[in-house]
Amino acid sequence: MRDIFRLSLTLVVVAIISASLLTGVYSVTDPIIRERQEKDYFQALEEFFPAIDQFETREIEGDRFDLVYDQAGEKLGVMATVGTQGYDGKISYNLAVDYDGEIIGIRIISHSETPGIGDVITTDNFQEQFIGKGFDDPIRDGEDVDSISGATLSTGAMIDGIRRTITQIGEDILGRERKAFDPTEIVDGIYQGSVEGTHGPLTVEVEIADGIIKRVDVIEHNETEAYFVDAYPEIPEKIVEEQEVYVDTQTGGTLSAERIVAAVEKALEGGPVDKDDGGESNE
Amino acid sequence: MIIIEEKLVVSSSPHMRSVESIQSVMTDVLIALFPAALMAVLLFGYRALITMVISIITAMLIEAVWRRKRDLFSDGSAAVTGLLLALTLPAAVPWWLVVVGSASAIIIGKQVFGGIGYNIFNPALVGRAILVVSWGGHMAGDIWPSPQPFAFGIDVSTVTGATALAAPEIAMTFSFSELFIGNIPGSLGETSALALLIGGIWLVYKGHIDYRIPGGFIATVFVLGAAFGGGFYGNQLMTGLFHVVAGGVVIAAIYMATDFVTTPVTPLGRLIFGIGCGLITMLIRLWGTLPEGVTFAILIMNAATPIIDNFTIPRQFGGVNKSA
Amino acid sequence: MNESNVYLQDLSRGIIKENPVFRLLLGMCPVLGVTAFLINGLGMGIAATAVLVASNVVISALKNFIPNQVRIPCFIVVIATFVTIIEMVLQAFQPVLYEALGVFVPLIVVNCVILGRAEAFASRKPLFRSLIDGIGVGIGFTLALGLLALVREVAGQGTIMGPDPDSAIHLFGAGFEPMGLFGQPAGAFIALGLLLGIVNVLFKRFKIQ
Repeated sequence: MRDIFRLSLTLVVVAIISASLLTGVYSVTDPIIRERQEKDYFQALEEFFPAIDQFETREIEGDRFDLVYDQAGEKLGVMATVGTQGYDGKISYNLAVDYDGEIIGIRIISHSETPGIGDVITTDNFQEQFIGKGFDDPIRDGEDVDSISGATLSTGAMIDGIRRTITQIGEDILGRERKAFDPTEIVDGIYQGSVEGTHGPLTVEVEIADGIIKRVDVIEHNETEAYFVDAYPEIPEKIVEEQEVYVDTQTGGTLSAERIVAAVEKALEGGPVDKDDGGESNE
Repeated sequence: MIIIEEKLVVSSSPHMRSVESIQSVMTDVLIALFPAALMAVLLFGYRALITMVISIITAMLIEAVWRRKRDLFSDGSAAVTGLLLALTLPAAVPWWLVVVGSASAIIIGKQVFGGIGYNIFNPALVGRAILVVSWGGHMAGDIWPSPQPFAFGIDVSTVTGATALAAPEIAMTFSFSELFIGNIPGSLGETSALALLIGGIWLVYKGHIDYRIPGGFIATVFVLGAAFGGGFYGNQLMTGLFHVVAGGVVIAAIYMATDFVTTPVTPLGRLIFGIGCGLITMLIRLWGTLPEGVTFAILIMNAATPIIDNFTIPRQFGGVNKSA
Repeated sequence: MNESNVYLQDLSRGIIKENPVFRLLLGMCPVLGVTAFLINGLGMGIAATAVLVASNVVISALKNFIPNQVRIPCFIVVIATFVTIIEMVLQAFQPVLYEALGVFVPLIVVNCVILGRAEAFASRKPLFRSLIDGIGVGIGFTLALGLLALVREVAGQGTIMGPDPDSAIHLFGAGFEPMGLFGQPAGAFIALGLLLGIVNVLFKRFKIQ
């Protein structure tokens, strides 16, 4: 018994000494670490918004959004601190957007993409193509921005992440409305639209009859099956049910869900196709 | 005292001797590769010839220096490795890439393991894998704007474009006969299934390769291609054939998966090896991120070779049960 | 054998004869993980050395107080404490290096070299010799990491003193296309294998036992 007592006591003593040592070091280094991170952040803020005077912080779903004001109290824009799932872990970055909803700058805070391949996301070359893009731009790979071959997953993740962030900023912070599709104003017919997906195009077919979205079908896709099943048929059903193109895409397969919505949007932007033609599908 | 007139030679096994040597086999392989090499020059022009010459000479030089022998050709295996590597490269690769690839194939692929007979992986494929990982851009095929000395009168810029496997849209631009004869984009030696098959038949006739490995490999690719390949030419069987003739399956099945050193020795093991290669190739092609998977398929199966050998040892008859 | 000779031996043993990387093949995880750039490799080596020296000294000092049955948990706690301290200090004062080393800093805790020295040397030998041993093994570890990182950075990136563009020196000019393989984990294995081969050849040549 005495033995066990002695063993426990030794462990306890060692643990207490260790804990107190760590607490001491932590109390010294923690303020320095925080200060440095804040300083880096302010530096970036000043770089993106030279006229910055003050800012107001908002938290939405754990992401930080800073509304930036100048000395006159005019809104300059928004700095978002967000993260997206990269090829190898989380990429966290700042996205600076001016009041008109146009991207001013991107700053990667941390990432663990493959050195020499995925880390192109930190280069100006990749980031510059986003500058000036805004709320109304598609920000889609192959349309107005390009992923970098060899690093498609890392750069594609950034493109998707930036699109999501700027949409969120537009809707939740700057209070913009999306251009709405009113089914009653769309000519009856069958519409097709496709967007670039994980491994190839994703094509949807939308049927409008009597001003009602009758059905939405994905007629071609090359998504990862495990994620796609979470988006389909759930998202088309939602669209038909709510008679609304921009439904909530938070599902187990958010990327696929967003692509379905985007494809529907594209379909309705174009004119109706003749059903018998079917020329666009690669069957 | 008895005097033995005739001296008896006592030696250890093997006691059966054959006129075949490594050198004669390797020479036969080189002869078998000649149609493919010729097609490469016809299709891609003089750059193909330069690439092959650089690759072969580098391989032989490195081998000779490493083994401190003056004989450049030696057993011929370095020349085969160099030529095979060259045939898996796109037409427009820079010369230094060929040198690095060929040197890596000989040094990392073969000599660090102890030379021919000891290497675990096919040296040419090790060289290729290193090049793919290091300079993926060049290995995907640069556009090479060049006069087209022999190039069948087709546009060379399309010949050095993306491989037919890169996307279905690209695949559909070639007819099946083009795929079979080989005037399509791709690596130097992989495009012409016809030339490769001629060499393959010669090798089987000479008894140097076992039909089981290429047979199992190609059959598996065909079956999986037909079942899951995506319906090219509107026909499942043609899709299967497409997957066989497009890309590097034929050259790999006949010349690389049949390497004596790195493949199983038992007949059943060889069949398993071939099927495994085909399976991994199609897994990478259909569901992986790379367009082509033969390189890594064979390297992975090379690594599995000792296990396959171990499980397919033929039963011994007439032995004594050890535990008895 | 006189006094100073013992210390000299303790020091040199960790560097050459029992080099943790090239001879004992211990602590391979950071060796392969952080050696894409010379600075990262050396930084990791120095961080591990600091932990090693500190834990060797403390464990040697405490060896008479720690009962045999619970020595491993005690060693781990001591090592983990120093690793956490190093981690916080790095984060506060060397943020760039901290980012580059990433998860490998906390993983110093499970680096076999450190626990191995604690168990095999520090828990048996006097304090000063443990200190010397820690320094020697640490230098050996740092040198090995530095050598591997140098090879990998020159071949895989074409630079030294990267990845920071301000300090990076491009050795072969702008047209050089580095051998991407060595920048990647697979290349770390190949580079380490080649280095081990060369080291073995050298040891045989100079008959170092």
